[in-house]
Amino acid sequence: MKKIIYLFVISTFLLSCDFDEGFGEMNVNPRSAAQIDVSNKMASVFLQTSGGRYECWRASLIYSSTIVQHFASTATYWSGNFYLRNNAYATSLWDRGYPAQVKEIVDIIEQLATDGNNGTNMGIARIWKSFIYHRLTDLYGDIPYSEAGRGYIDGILKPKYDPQSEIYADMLSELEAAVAQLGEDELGTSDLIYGGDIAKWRKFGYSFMLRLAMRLSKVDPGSAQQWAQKAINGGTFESNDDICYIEHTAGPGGINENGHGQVFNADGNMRFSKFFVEKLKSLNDPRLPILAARRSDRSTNVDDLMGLPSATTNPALEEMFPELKVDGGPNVRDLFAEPNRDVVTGLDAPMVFQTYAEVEFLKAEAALRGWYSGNAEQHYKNGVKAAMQMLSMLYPNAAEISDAEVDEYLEANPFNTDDAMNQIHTQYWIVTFLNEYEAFANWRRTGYPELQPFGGQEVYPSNVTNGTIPRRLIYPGGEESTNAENYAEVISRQGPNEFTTRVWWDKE
Amino acid sequence: MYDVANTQNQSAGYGFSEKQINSAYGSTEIGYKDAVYLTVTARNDWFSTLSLPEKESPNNDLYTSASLSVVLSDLVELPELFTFLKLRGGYSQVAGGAESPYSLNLNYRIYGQGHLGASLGNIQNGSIPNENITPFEKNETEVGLDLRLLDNRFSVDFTYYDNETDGDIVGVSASATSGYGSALANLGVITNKGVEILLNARPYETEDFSWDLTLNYSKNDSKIVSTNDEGTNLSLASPRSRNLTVTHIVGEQYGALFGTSYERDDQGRIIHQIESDGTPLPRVGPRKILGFGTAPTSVGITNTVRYKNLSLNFLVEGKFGGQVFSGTNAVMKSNGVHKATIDDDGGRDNGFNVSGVDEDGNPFTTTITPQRIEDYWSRTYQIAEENIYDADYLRLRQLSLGYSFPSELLENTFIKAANISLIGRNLFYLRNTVENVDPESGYNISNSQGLEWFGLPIPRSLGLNVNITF
Repeated sequence: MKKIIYLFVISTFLLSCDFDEGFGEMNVNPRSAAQIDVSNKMASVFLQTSGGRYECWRASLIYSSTIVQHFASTATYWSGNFYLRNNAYATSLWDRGYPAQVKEIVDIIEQLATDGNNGTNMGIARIWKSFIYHRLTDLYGDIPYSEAGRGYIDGILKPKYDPQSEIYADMLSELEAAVAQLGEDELGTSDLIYGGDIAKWRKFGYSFMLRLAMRLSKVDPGSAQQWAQKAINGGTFESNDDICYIEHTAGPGGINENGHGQVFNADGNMRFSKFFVEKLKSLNDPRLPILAARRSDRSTNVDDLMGLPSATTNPALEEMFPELKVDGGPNVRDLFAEPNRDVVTGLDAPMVFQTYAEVEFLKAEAALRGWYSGNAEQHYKNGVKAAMQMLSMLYPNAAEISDAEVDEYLEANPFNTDDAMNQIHTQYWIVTFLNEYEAFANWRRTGYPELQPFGGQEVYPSNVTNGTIPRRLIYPGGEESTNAENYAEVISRQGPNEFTTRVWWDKE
Repeated sequence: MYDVANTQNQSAGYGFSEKQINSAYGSTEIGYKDAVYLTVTARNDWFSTLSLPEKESPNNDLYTSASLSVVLSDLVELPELFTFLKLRGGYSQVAGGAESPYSLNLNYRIYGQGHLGASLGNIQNGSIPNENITPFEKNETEVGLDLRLLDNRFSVDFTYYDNETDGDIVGVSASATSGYGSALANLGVITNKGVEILLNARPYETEDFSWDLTLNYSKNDSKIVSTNDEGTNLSLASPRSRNLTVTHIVGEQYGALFGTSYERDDQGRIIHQIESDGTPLPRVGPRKILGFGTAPTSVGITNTVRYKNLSLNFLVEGKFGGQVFSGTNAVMKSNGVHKATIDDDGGRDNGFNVSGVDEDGNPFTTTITPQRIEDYWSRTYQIAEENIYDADYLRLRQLSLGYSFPSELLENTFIKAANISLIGRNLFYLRNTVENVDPESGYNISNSQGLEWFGLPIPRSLGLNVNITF
């Protein structure tokens, strides 16, 4: 009996003990928070969208910039220049975009919705969400959109792929609704884009709407016209002061630096393509010696600036230019022009998302198509002038291009209605140098400038495009296993996961 | 948030994490005739890593065990030969919590040092947190015997076990488009059964000379019984080449290496696409099981030979039956610094010989021109199968030679005993089926064994040991 009493006492004692006292608090990380201010998240997502070295190197420069023949390289790891398949390079914007950009903007919108914010921050967040997604869908085609980035919020581990037609429709109506929400500034210094100037955000909302609208010109001219009109009526960029860009600083961390700048620091293998240099020389374009310099001695003398033939390896280049090979002299490839390291390659260079000049060019096109009553020639001229004069604003070391020089240029290269699309989009292609995702998308839509596969060089063996210019980048192979059913569905809908498969708006 | 990481002008960082397990434990043992013992235990563990302030699902688990052992040699008269014989059997449960803390809820961080006056913040979790994680439980049945013969000169310890782990806590793979790399879950069922044998023998013994031998052997069969509700594959980790994923596949062993393969015809010959200049490039085939990263068999042999005051000891260890994906070899091949990238006649100037079949099934043998060898190996870099190796090895883990100073020598000193020994560890392989790398240098030892990517080999060491007892 005594034993039973002891046992009873002990059990009662044990049962009254709190064996996990303080455990709940212990498992909450004291170095992080359950929620943070939305402004900190917005500042972060702006920088993340500007991008890290990873995707700036791979998807932007190695693929997009060489496909549109801004750049060329003798190094075969510059896969886009040779139309080679490098899975990890081609998928890099996807690989980084979803975890670093989509996840954050979806979280921001969720937080704002929970807080009942229907105002400016929500408007900016929705504009930015569309901005993030338009790059992804333009580059890859049908992508996870409506269910993406919701792994925590909704527990969706395998988001479905939405058709690009639906994504575009949603992005456009999102923009319309978002601009309507813009009111008083709520972000202050965390607005790394416009520093709290909401009028500029409104103009960006409509300018960006114009970009998306015009993207539909081939596949759905009706919608394109309707949205373009809505955008122009809403009020787009009016000067270079409205340009949508983010400033970078040279450190202290990688996130603060311009992703392209980091690549230029680490990789000396990019050159301006022969096509780019010859195009600007043929126009007698004053931007050439600002953007380009000879690699061997940094000369910006126009006569010293040569563009590298695309898809040409080092031995082939030396064979092509035997006279350039001098014993004890620089490498032949270093006699070609690279981005001017005194002007555009800095870690603190700004990253540009959309320029005023682009908007003027799109308006010129809209006028040309009769979608809008503006004067195509005037918009074209405004665009050229803005594109030339923005350089000294964005890059402190860039020489200013005077009004007189612009006028001279426009006189020497007069607007020609019969060749207007070519002129407008050749200019668009020049101004989107270092906004390579946009340059690639606009070239696919318009076909201008008229690029030759491999820059007119011999077909490079083992290219994966059957000798044609790529029309998209490819999905990551991991989707095949981690998101198998949805992946199979998108392949059957869009076509094989190849560089030659066209995205929806890129109708032949 | 007030945290050192949120200050300006940083030059240092620090890490902090905290976890705790509390336990209550009870056991009782009943003996009969000092030869039969029944041991029953009960234990409750509370896991801080499974706790949250408002959590409703349990953060603790009660688990029990019962084991019976019978010392047969004390119970009945056995022949002279037998010194000791014990039979044992038991059933046990073990529970476990999450490996790392702070994985149950969503955390936000302020990172970097801000930008132009703005603080930067985002979600810290790369894996989707799950507030409902509960302890996993492993139930095991075990039988064994302990037999010693001839005055302990020979002994065998044998164990057979069969266990099942339910609700193991792992990161279930998620599409990167979910925003996360994985999701924490109590998932599936894994079984393991196997044997462990330990043999000790002293085959020879005189006053001046003795030889001791220890052998251990283990063999484990693992099986993924179920993964999740849908029975779909669970992807664990991938190497940087992204052409392979360590995967749990229902009905297969633990940790299949699931990756891209060579496309082959019915005779197993590799199918190539032939480029316009005649260069053959192997086709990248579908993902399939290329091997298993966890070796089922391991052995160890220890020999100790003593002659007078000298003793020689060596330990040989090895593992068999597993495979590894070697990223080191993959990169070496794609960079052209691997022996496989040149023909036996040496030199690259004469091209590189390749045989196979073309896409129409016609066999060919051709020489790739030096300029295109790079493209050939760039292609094979995408094919995981090219760099799957059997990860069998047998290595001399330790060799030592020792000398004990005779006690007569120390008799009138303050030293009671002294010995000196030379010890070498990881001196060489007796067998290694992976080229160029240490098969033990895989980069992930938890859930994703079988991946290797420029891992540091286990160092070889030589040492001198002096041991003096006062």
